[in-house]
Amino acid sequence: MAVADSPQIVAIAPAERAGYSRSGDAQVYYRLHPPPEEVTGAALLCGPWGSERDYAHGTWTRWARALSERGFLAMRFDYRGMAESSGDGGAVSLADYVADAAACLGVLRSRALGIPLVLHGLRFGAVIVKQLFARGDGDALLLWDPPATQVSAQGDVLRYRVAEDAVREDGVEPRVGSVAELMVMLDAGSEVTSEGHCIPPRLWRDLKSLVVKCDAGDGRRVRAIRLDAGPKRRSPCSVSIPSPPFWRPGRRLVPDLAELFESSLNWVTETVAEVRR
Amino acid sequence: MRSAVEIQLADGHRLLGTRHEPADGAADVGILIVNFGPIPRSGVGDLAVRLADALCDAGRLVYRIDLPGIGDSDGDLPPREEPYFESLQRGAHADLVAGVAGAIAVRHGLRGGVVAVGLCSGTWIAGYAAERTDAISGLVMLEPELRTAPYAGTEGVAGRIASRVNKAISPLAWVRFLFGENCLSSRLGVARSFAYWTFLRMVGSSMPTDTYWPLVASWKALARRRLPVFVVTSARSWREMYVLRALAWLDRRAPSHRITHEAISGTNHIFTAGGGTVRVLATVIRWISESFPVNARDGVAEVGADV
Repeated sequence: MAVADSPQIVAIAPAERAGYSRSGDAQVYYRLHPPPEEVTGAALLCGPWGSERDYAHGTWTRWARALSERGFLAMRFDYRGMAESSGDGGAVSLADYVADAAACLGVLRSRALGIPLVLHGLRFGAVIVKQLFARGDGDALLLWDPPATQVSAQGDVLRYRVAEDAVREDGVEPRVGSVAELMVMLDAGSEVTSEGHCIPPRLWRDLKSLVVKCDAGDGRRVRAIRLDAGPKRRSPCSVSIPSPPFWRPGRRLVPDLAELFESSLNWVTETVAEVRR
Repeated sequence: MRSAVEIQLADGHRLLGTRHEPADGAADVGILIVNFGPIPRSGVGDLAVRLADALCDAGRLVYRIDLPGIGDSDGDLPPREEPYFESLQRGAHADLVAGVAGAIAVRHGLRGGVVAVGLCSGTWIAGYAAERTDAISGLVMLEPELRTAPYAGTEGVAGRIASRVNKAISPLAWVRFLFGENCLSSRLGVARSFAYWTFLRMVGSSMPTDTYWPLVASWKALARRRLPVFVVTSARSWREMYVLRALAWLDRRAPSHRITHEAISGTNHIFTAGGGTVRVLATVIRWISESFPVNARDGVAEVGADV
C-alpha cells in the first residue's frame, strides 16, 4: 500500500493538554491551557449546551488561549454525553453536570494549588458555575449571557427545534409547531431532541425547580455580562457582539469580540490581583 | 474507549483528535472522520461522535481529527467562511488528510486501509485526499455539495444591502425555497410543491450551471479507480439534485463505478431533524459492514505502542 508523506501520531504535547476526568461512569473530556510563564490565576470555563457548544467552540477556545496568555491556567471541558465526553446524554440530570464540573475543578485545583480561581460560565454554563460558586468554590464568578431564568437556559434550544421542524420535509417523526408544545412534552416526561441533542425530562425538571443565588453574600466578586447580538447595546452592563451571536451558525468564523475579551480580561486580572492582596 | 491523540505535522503544527478503539482489537480497515465544515470534530449534534462510537462497538478502529484552525487543533481561520470554503473546494488540507490516513494505516497495521468519512465540505477534503493516496480504501460522503462555493461578501450597510439583493436574485436562494429549506417555503407549501415539480421538469438531467466541475472530475477519478463510495443525502434536498445528476453523468462516462447512493427522508442537511441521525447512522454502518467485512487479524503485526 502506498502511503503519502506520513505525519507522526504522538502523545499529547506539554503545551495545551487534553485529558479525561472520571465522573461517575463517564469520561469527561477536558483541555488545559497553561500560561507560557508563571501561573497567576486559574479559570474553570463552563460552556454552553448542545449545538451552541459546537458553534461557540472556536470562540471558547480563543477565550481560553487569551486567558492563558494573561497568566491564567484555563480549563474547559465537555459535559457528559456531549461532544468529546462519553456517557448517556439521554439520562443526565443537572447534578450530573455539576459533578462533571466539580471533577474538572478537582483536576484544575491539583495543578494550581493556592492560586486564585475564577469560575466562568457562558449561557447554560452560567447555571452550572453558579451552583459551584454557591457552595463555596472559586474566588470570583464571571458570567457571559446568563439565562434570565433557569428554564430559559433551554428556551432557545427549544426554539431551534421548532425552526428545524419548520424547514424540513415530512418524515418519520411528527413536527412540533411551538415551544409551548415542546414544554408540554417535557413536562409530561417525554424527551425532546433539538439539533441532535436530547433534553432529558429529568434535566428539564431539575432546571424548573432550581433556585440559585448568584451573590453568595460573602464578598466574593461577581460579574454578569449580557451579550447583545447586533450594534445596539440594550443596557449599561451589556456588551454588543456581532450578529448572529457566536453560539449560532453564521458566516463569521472568527467574530470580532475584542471589547468583550478585553473588558473580561481586565476584570479577571484585577480580581485575581485583589484576591492575592 | 476514547483517547485523545495528537498528530505532529512536519511544519511543527499539531492536530488534535480522538481515537475510538474497540475493546477486542481492531478490524483490518480503519475509519477516519474529518471535520464537517468548520465545526469541531464531534460534528453538529455529535453526529461524528455517535458514528464513531457505533462503529467502535462494531469492532472498528475510528479516528476523528480536527483540521488546522478548527476545534482543538493549532492554526488560524479566516474571519469569514467564504474564503475558507473556497480554499477547501480548491483542495486545501487534502494532502494533510491523505498523510494522516496513511499514518493511521501504518501505525495500526490496517491492511485494508482507511475509510474516510465527511459531511458537506468534509466530502471535498475526503474525496480529494482519496485521489492522493491509496491508503484511503473507501469513502462515505454525507450530503456532498457539488456547486461552486459562494463568493466572499462585503461588510457594512452596503454589504448588507448587496446581500439582500443577491439573495433575491440568487438562483440558490430560490432553489432553497423550492426544496423547502427556508421559512417562506413552509408557509407557501402548495405553491412551492407546484414550483418544485415545474422546476425539476425545466432543468432536465443536465448539471446545473454553478456546478463546481473539479469536484465532479474528482468523483470521476474515484469512479475510474472503482473506489467504493457511499453517498448519503437528505431526500428531495437541492444537494441531492446535484448528486443525482452527477451520478447520471458518471454512469455514462465510468459505468463500472462503485458509487452508491441512498437518501434519508424527512431530515435536514446535518441529519439532526426528524430522527435523521439514527437513520443515517444505521445506513452508514450497514454499508461499511457490507463493503468492508470485519476479518480476523491473525498474522497482522501491531505497529508501535499506545500513545
